[in-house]
Amino acid sequence: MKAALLKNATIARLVVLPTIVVIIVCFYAPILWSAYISFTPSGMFPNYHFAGLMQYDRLLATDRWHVAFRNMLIFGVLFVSIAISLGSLLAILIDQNIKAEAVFRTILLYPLSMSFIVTGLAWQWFLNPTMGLQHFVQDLGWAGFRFDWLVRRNLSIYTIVIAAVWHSSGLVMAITLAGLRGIDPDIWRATRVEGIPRWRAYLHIMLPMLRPVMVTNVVLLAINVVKSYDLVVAMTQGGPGYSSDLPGKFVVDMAFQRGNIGQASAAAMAMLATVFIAVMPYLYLQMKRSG
Amino acid sequence: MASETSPPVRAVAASRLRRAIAVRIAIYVALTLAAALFLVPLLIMVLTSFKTMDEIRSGTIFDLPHALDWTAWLKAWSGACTGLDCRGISPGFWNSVHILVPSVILSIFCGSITGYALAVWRFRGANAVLLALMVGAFLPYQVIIYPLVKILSFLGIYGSLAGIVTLHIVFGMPLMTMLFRNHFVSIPADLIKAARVDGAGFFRIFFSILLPMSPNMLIVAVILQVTGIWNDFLLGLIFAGQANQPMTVQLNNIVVNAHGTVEYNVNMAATILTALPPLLVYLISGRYFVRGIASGSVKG
Amino acid sequence: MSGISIEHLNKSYASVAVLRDVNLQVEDGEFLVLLGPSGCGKSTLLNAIAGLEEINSGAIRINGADVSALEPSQRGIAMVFQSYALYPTMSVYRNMAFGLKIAGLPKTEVEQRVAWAAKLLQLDHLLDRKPAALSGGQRQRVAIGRALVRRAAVYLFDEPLSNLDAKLRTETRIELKKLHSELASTIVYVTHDQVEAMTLASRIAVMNGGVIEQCADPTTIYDTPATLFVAGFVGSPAMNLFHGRLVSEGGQRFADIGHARVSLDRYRFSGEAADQRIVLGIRPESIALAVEGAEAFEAEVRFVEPLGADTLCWFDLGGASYCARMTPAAARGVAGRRRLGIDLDRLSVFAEATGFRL
Repeated sequence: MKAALLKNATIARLVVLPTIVVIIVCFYAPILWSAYISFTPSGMFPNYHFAGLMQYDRLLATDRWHVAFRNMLIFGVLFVSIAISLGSLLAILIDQNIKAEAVFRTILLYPLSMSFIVTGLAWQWFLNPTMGLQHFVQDLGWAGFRFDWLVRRNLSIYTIVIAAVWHSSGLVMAITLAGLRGIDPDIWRATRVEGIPRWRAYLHIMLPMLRPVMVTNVVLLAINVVKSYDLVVAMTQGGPGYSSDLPGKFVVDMAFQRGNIGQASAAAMAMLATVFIAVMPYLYLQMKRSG
Repeated sequence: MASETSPPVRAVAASRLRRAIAVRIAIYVALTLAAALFLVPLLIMVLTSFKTMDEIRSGTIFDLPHALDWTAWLKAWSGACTGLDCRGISPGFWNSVHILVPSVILSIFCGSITGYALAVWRFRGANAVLLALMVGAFLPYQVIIYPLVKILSFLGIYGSLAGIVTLHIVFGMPLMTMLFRNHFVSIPADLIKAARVDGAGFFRIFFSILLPMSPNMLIVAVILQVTGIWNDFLLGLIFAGQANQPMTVQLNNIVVNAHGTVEYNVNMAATILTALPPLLVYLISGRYFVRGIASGSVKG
Repeated sequence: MSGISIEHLNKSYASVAVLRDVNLQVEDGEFLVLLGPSGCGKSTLLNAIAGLEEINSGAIRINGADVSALEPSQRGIAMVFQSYALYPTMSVYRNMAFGLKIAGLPKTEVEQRVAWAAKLLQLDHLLDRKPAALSGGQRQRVAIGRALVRRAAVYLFDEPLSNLDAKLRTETRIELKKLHSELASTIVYVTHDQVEAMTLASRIAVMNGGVIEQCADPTTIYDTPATLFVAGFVGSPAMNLFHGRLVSEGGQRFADIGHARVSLDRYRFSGEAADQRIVLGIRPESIALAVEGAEAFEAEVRFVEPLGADTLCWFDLGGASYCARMTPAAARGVAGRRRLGIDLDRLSVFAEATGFRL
């Protein structure tokens, strides 16, 4: 009796079914497979004998992994904090009812439309010690000027920070600006009636009101940090040596160049854990919002 | 009375005005400076691409080219070498187009109809499906990339156009479904009821009523997918196969894996060529692009 | 047999019962109004009739046929929605024709019906417009037109006037009434506005908490409410409710409401009623300044509210506030302690324990 009434809902279920299958086959099963492989002695080929934490022990004993993971932390902290500060500042500046707002917005956001490969190649050229910025400043007469981070072991990761900030600050700017524009204008009127200076209103009232927006910003950028692959490949190829390696590159290299699936899987699990930690505040916020 | 109090009042007003003007000047200076800095990488790429190698070696990156020399562009498009293959970046361009068109169309179709099914016909478990999809939106490709190679090999589409298109659809599902689901949820329930009273079923409601109501969402989705898929590197590198390598992968091969003298002008021209399609999409669509990243950001 | 017949209808969301054993007969050509506060289940009942809500148990018959298992479009119904629910991308013509086309009617028939409805509702000149280019009243008429072209056995209206401004609402109300008498079709109409209910309905079903409290013609509902809820919900200002006891003394019956005793000699009990705690209901217009010899009590008049056509006079009795409706002339200068008389022919008595009329 209910069958006819349910007909559309049944079609809906059938339409969603392939998605469910795809999610399971392409997302969850591979996660589980990788998780299991990380506890096996797999090398070039999968080996399904359980071997405990052996792969993780090896990973922790690998200097390249430590470098990659530390780089991710340096990159993450610097990139996220600089991009958020710069992006918010730009959003506030653009929010000042300025002329040619569209022009400024367009210029500040255009890097986002470019791929990380393009971004990496552009900055590699700009920061190239012999041809780029260093050469230009020296040519101006400042012969002692040095800006060769790209080829310095302990500094190359910072050039990646610079390029990533250039790429993504516009994103923060656009999201924050949308948030600022969404604030009830009555709150602005109230601050004016109470004589609160504009910069204080931003710092103490508006930005705190935008906390959910900021959390979104942080999570978006943080995920990009963990996923990062293209940018390093284009800019430094992880070098000099493996000094600017990142976990995202470590995993791919292990799996496809070194042929070490076990190590790749263990490192992938470490990435997954990191993403989970990065996404936590967002999920927390979502859960709080939905009660 | 009034004439006694007005001079100081006027003085205060004048000093406040001066401060306001100073603040506004500072705002414009700061923004202009920021804009200039943001333009620098693009500027030096364009400048370099029009120079000859001699000019590049003898001058600095900010020197203007002597003439608008398109040689590097031509070579980048159809003459630059990756290994022994000297067809420039144009094969990559066409590969990217071949990947892009079916991927964009199919991923938007699958995402929109799934989003519609989840939003309008709220059957039990619909929210669980949504949550499961959300996880996919956050998942770094690297975590599952190796098992995916195995799965695609098993299906016989590893290293083929079908394989890479399939993966773009799969990885587009979370965002596209979320995007359309949240759009369709905002459509009044009465409208769906009216259509059901009129005898429209699942598919007719979708195609005759909801899709025609959603041109903005479709534009946003197209922009998101076109830029996202065009800019993809990792999936193309691993899954597309030698014959279908997208433009980003070929660009990287030309620039990074070049042998002999590095031709910076050709490299930069190739880089700009690769950046151009999404850049044009961005410049043309402007407002929609911002809406896209905003909606994408809210849902993950 | 025509009309709608609903038997033992139950509906719940999760564990919350929204409709509880609802039974209702709607006669052919009747204008039945479902009236009640928000959340009383009236819209759910309407949606269940339409087939837009799944039901848990019970039967719905339209024109004698059990339609419980049918799709909305197969039930011989048409519906007008509160938000009008016009298809925004379609012209007025296409909005009205959409359902007919799906039903596979020949083109000439579709055109004919749309033209008929457009003429009836004065929409002829708007057929090419999109809904966005119409005023609220015009959209409303298109929504009604979309229902009319279906030539349905039953028309369902879900609060169709609540999005209109006050003036337009009054006009449309009259239009609807005219339309109903012209087409003589069966209508089920949901509203929370009692003025709409009183003016439009041939019968009103007052709903509360998923149950039909009373189903009767408007006069009966107003004069002899079957339950305390109906008494309190219908009428503005609401019926005055005095708590007290039913007392029998020497063959006579009184309502003892603390500060006064009201004779129930002329009250017609619906059955045997033992002495018990009761609620005495008196409409504001059944209370007036006392004339000699009338049943009366003393009360403190707090303030008067002149409404123009009549005047509301608020008074205190035993710490609670009550209302009397008077002509402006009678209410002039009323203040302080006054004797108030009651029209003994128009009382309502409810059992306090059950809320049912005695």
